[in-house]
Amino acid sequence: MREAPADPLDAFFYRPDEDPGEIPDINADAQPIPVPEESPRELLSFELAGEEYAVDIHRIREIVKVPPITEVPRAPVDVLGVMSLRGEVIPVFDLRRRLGLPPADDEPSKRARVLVIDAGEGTSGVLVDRVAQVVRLKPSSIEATPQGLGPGVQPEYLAGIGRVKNRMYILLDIRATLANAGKVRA
Amino acid sequence: MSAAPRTLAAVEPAPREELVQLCAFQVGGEEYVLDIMRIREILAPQRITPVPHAPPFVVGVINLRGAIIPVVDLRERLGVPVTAPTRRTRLLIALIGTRKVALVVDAVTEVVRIPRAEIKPAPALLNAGGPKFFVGVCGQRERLKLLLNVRALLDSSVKVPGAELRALATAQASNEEGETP
Repeated sequence: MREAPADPLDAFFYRPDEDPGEIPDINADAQPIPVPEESPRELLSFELAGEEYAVDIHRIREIVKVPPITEVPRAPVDVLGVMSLRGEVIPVFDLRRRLGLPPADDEPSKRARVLVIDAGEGTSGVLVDRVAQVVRLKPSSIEATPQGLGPGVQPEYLAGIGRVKNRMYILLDIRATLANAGKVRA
Repeated sequence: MSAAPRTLAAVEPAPREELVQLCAFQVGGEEYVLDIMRIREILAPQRITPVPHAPPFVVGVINLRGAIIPVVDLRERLGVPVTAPTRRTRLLIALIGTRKVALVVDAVTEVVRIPRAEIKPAPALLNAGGPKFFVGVCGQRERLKLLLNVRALLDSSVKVPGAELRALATAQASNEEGETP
């Protein structure tokens, strides 16, 4: 075998000063988190497809039990239908589809709720499996979403990962998540 | 061809006679190795929090004593069936520079201690036209193990050469093992 000046095998062997390539340091502020340093954030945690997520509580106008949702023919893929909120007809978005999660296989359970949110284009609802509780997070317990997750992740949907005691919450920027909802038809 | 002449490189990699230690593990019935200095910990499987919209082989993150670490399922990445965890399934915490990544493997088998010179280049078939996922091959004829370039596995969205290609390539390498270099 010939000796090349730089043995390609060298990259195989670990060196502390090696270039990590596309995996940035998870603990650095890869994404600036717009959180005022002083006050803790209040978030509402909810369950979706077995995982706990959390959104800023001030984005949520109301939480209602799941009303009859009228399906709309030829609606965009991420719309479950429309519901009546005291006479106002608002769309209900499928948060699982927005997040690339598997679709729900059952009817909503008794614990499911609709979060009524004022997003950019007016009021809308998102269906979640269960609302858990209000969580107060100090800005210091919020970490940037690991970017080593690769090109598929929509970083703008995720506002980071929050930790309280032993629980991890995936923080959603609900406005960003719904920003283009209802645009793509099946 | 006679034995390779001994040369001193300007920046010193391990001299070719020096023993290197490689951690061997199984994924989908095949064996691979990583530099043992890259493996910080080997854990039993633990709860993985999925993250939406991650690429298919990134199954989520774990909380490792306060650090959030992405988890790559090597079975998905290498295109082999993902079986339910067994008692031998492990999470390898691998270091790339200063960053950690957790790799899901079917089993950790052994630590291989061999002279660096015994590492042979990977069959060209495996790396044709793409990033070098496999940087070498080692071991005896029946138990060849591929050296994984873990950084290429994580960086690239290129599909890793599939199982059939790997089987063919290792068979080819196995035959070459019997020839005098």
